[in-house]
Amino acid sequence: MSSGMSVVGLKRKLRDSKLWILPIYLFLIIFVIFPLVRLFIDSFTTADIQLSALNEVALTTDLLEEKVNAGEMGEALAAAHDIALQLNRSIDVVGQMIDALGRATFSQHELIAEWQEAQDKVAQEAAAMAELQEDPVAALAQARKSKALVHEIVRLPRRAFSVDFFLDVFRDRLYMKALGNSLLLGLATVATTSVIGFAVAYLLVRYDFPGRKAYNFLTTIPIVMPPLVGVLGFIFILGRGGTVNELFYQLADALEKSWPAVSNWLYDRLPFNFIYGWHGLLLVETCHLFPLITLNVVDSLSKIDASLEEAAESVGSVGFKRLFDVTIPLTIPGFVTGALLVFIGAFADFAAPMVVGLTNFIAPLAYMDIQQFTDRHLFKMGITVGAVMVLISVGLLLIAKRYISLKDYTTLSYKAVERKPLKGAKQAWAHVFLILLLIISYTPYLGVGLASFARSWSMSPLPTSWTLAHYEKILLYAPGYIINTFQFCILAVLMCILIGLPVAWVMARTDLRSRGALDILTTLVLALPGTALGIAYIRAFNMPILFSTPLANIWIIIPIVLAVRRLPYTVRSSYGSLLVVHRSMEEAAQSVGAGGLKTFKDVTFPLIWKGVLAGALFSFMTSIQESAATLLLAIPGWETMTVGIFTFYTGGTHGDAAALGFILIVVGVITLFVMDRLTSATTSGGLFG
Amino acid sequence: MNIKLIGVTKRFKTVEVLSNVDLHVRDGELFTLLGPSGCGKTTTLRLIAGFYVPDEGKIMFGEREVQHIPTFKRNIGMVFQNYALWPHMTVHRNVAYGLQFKKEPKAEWPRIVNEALAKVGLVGYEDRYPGQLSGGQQQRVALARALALNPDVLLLDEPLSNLDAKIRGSVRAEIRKLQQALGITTVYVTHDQEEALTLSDRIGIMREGQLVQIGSPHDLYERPATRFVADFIGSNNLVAGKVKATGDDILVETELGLFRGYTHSEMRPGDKCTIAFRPENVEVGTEQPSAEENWIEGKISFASYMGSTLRYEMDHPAGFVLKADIKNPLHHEELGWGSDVYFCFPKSAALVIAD
Ligand SMILES: Nc1ncnc2c1ncn2[C@@H]1O[C@H](COP(=O)(O)OP(=O)(O)OP(=O)(O)O)[C@@H](O)[C@H]1O
Ligand SMILES: [Mg+2]
Repeated sequence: MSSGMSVVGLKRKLRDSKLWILPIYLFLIIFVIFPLVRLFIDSFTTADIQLSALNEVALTTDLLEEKVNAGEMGEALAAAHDIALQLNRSIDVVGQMIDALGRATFSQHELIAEWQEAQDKVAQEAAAMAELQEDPVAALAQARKSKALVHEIVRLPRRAFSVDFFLDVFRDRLYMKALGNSLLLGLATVATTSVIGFAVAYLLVRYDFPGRKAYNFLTTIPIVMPPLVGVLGFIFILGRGGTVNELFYQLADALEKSWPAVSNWLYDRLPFNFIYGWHGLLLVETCHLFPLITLNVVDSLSKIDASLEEAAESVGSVGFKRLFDVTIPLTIPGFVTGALLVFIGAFADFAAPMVVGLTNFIAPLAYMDIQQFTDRHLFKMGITVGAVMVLISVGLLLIAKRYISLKDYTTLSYKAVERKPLKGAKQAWAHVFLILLLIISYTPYLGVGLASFARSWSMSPLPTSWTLAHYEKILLYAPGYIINTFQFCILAVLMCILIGLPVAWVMARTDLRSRGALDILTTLVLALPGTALGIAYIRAFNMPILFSTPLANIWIIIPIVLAVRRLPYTVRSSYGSLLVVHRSMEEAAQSVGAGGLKTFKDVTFPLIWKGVLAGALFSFMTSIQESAATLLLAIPGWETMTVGIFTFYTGGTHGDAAALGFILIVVGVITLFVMDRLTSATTSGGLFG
Repeated sequence: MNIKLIGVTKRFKTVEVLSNVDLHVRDGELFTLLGPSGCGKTTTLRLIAGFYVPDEGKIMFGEREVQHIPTFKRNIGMVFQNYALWPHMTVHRNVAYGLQFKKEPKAEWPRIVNEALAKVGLVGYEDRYPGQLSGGQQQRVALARALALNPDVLLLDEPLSNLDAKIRGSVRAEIRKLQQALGITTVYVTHDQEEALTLSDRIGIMREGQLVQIGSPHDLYERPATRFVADFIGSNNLVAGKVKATGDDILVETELGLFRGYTHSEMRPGDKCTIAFRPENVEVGTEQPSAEENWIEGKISFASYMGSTLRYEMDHPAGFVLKADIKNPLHHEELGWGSDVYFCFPKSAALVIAD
C-alpha cells in the first residue's frame, strides 16, 4: 500500500513540477540566450587583428616551391622577394597583436610573452630571408622554415577580455555617425507613424462612416512590404524617371504652346525629387510601419471604458484637452508596444536607406561587415555592432516596460465608448485623409506589380511592353525560392505554436517563477533587430556541435531563426486569448473529472484556437518578409524569396526581383485577410495586447 | 439649485426609454430614483448630467433651461457606478483635474483637494494610484472628485453597488451626512429599496420609463399609490379583488374571502382593486378569530428565522403565498411546518389600492 501511495505521490509531483516544459526552456536557452551571450563574449574578447600577412607568407612559400620545381628561377626570385616583404609586414602585424593584448582588462603577460617570442622569431626569419635574395633554392629552404613558424603563430591563443575591444566601435567616427543616423531615422519614423497611426485608429474606433470596416482592413495591409522591392516600387512610381515625373514631363510638353510660363516653370524644376534623401526614406518607412501603431492603438482605444471620458466631461474637460489628458494616456500601453516595433523596424532596416541613396546607416554597415571575409577587423566590428544593437533594444525595452507595466487599467464594469456618426464635411475629410494615405502607401505595390509584368519600362509613365517572362523564370526555372520560403515559414510557424502556446500557458496559468523570465525573453526577442540575431547566430552556430556540420550550415537554422524572431507574436496572441478564457471554465472541466491535458483539449483549446491561429498567421506573414536574418544566414541551395529578391536585384534583373516581391505581397495580403476574418469573428485578445 | 424635468421623453433609435417624465427635485434635497433594472433610472440621470439630449421636453436648472447645454457647462458633480477614476493619474491628480476648468488659481488647488479628501476621510492618500486603493476608497475618491468642484448638483449612479454589504451601510450614512452638511441638491440612483428608504428626502419610483409615484419614504411605505409601488417598497401581501361596498370601511371581495380595509382614493362598488397588508401587521394564531376581523386560514409552508423576526409563509389552496412576521420571536413558540393557522390582520392595516 505504501509503495502504491508513493507512486501516486511521485506522479503527482512530476505533474506539478511541469517537467514537460523543460524542452521548451532548453530550446529558448539554446536558440535565444546562448547566441546573445556568445555575441557579447565575442564582442568583448576578440581583438581581431588582421593576420593575413602571415597567411600570405605560407601561400607565397607554396608559390616559390612551385616555381623552383618548374625551374622558373626569375619568378621564383620574385616570390622570394615577396616573402621577405611579407615577413617584414608580419612583424608589424604581430606587434599590433601585442599592442591589442596589452589593452586587455586583465593582464596577459604570458600570452604577450609568447607573441613577443613569435615576433622575435619572425624578425630572425625576415633577416635570414633578406640574405638569400640571390639563391632561390636556399630561399625555398628558408621559406619552408618560415611557413612552419607562421603556421604555429596563427594558432597561438589570442583571445582576451577587454572592454576596450568593445568600445572600439564607439571610437570609430564612421560607426558613430551611422548609429546616429539610424537612431534618428527610428525616432523620426516613430514621430510620423504616431501621428498618422493614432489619427487612423481614432477615426476607426470612435467614428462611424461608410467604408469603415473596409478601411480597417485596408490600412493594415502596408505592413506587407517585401525588402528592397518595396522601396523600389516607390522609385518606379515616384523616382526621378518614375511614373509621376514622366507624367509631369508630358504635362510640360502639352503646355509648351498653350501656357509656356507654366511649362517652363515645370521644365526648370523637373524631375521632382520625391524619394532620394531623408524625406524619401521617412516616407517609405512611415508608409510601411504606421499600421503597427494603428493596430496597437485600436486595441487600447477600444478597451477604454466610456465612463472615464464621461467623468472628464463632467468636470469640464472636453475636446482636445480631454483627448490629451485622458484618452491618449490611456492608450499608452498599446502605443508604446507599437512605437517600439516601429522604432526597431526603421532602425534596423538595411535595404531602404541604400536604395534611396543614403549610405552610412548602422544595419547595412553591420551586414556588409559580416558578409565580407577578407578583413577580420571589420568582421569584428560587425559583431560588436550586433551587440550594440542588442543593448539598444534592451534599453528601449526597459523604457517601454515602465509604461507597459502601468497596464492594469482594468475597470469594474465595461462599456465601450459609442461610435459617433461622422457626417457631411467631416466625413468627407476623413475619406480624403484615408484615401490619400492608402494611395501613398499602396504606391510600392503598384510599382512592384507593374515592374513584374514589364518587359521594358523607361522614360514612360507606364511600361511600354508587357511580359510574363519574369513569372515564368520565377515559377519554372527557379521555383526553389518560393518552395523554400513556404517550407521554412510553415515549419517556423509550427515551431512558434509548439513553443509559443506552452510559453503563453505558463505565463497565463501558472505561478512558476520562470514566468517573469519568459515574459522578458519573449519581449526582448520582439525588440531585437534581425541583423543582431542573425549575427549572433552566425557566431554561435559556426562550430560543429553534435553534428559534423556546423548548425549554421544546415537548412534547419533558417526555420529556427524565423521561429525565434516571430515567437513573440504567437506568445502574445495566445496569452491574450488565454486571459479571456476565465480560469473557472477550466476548473469546471476539472471538477467533472477531466484531466489537465483533456481540459486543455476540450475546453481551453476550442476557445482560444482562433486567437492562436491569428497570431500564427501574423508570424507567417512577417516571416516570409524577413530579410535581415535570412540573408545573413543564407545557405547556398536553400535561399528564400527575400534572398532571391536581393540576388536578382544586385544581379540587375529588377523584373525578376519585382515578380518575387509581388508574389510575396499577394501571399501576405491573403494571410492578413484570413487573419482579419478570424479575429473579427471572435473576441480574442489583441495581437499585441 | 432645483431641477425640473418637464415632459421629458427619450428614445434610443425607435425604442422609447423614457416617456413624458415630469420631475421636480427641490433645492438641497436628496432625491432618489428607484426602480427595477432597465426602467430608465440611469437614462434619467444622464439626461440631467447632459450626456443625453431629450427628444422632447425641457430640463431646468433653477431658471435656466439646460437641455441643450453640454455637460461641462452645467456645473454638476457625478459619481459613476464604476467610479471611473483615471487609472493613469494619482488620487491628487484625479481630484484636482477639474479645477483648471473652473479657473481656480493653481495655488489654491492643494487646499481644495485637501478639503475634498478631508470630507471623505482620505487625507494622506494623495499620491496613490486608483489601482492601489480598495473599492470603498475608490468610491470615496470619486465622491471627492465630484465635490471638489463645488457643483450645484450632485449626481450618483448606484454608487454603492460595487461595495460589499458590510461597508455599504457605513458609506451610505457618510454620503447622507455629507449631503446634509453641504446642503447640495443630489440625485441618487439605486435599485435597492432599503438604500432608498434610509437615505432619501424623497423618492421617485420608476417603472418602464415612467415615474409612477413620488413621495417621502414614509409616504411611499404607508401610502403606495399603485400595486406596483406597494409590492416594490417593503414586503407586502397583495390580494386582488373587487370593491363590494364603500363607507367608513371599504368591503372588498377576493378569492380568499371578504375583507375590510381603508383607502386614500375614491372608490365605487364594483371597482377592481388590490388589498395590501404588510407581514408585520399580521397576527398568527391557531384559534379561529371572531368574524369581525380579517382572517385567512391555511397551513404553514415555510418558516424562516432571521433573528429579530420570524417569518411564516402560508400556502393558500387558491394559489397565494401569504407572509406574516413575528417580531421578537423569543416569546413565541414556533409552529411546525404544516400546522393549521389563521393569519389575522386589522382593517386599519389593510390598504385598498385602486387598480
Ligand atoms: N445607449 C443605449 N442604446 C439603446 N438602448 C439603451 C441605451 N442605454 C439604455 N438603453 C435601454 O434603455 C432602457 C433603460 O436603461 P437604463 O440604463 O436607464 O436602465 P436603469 O434603470 O439604469 O437599469 P439598471 O438598474 O440595470 O442600471 C433599458 O431597456 C436599456 O436597454
Ligand atoms: Mg443603471
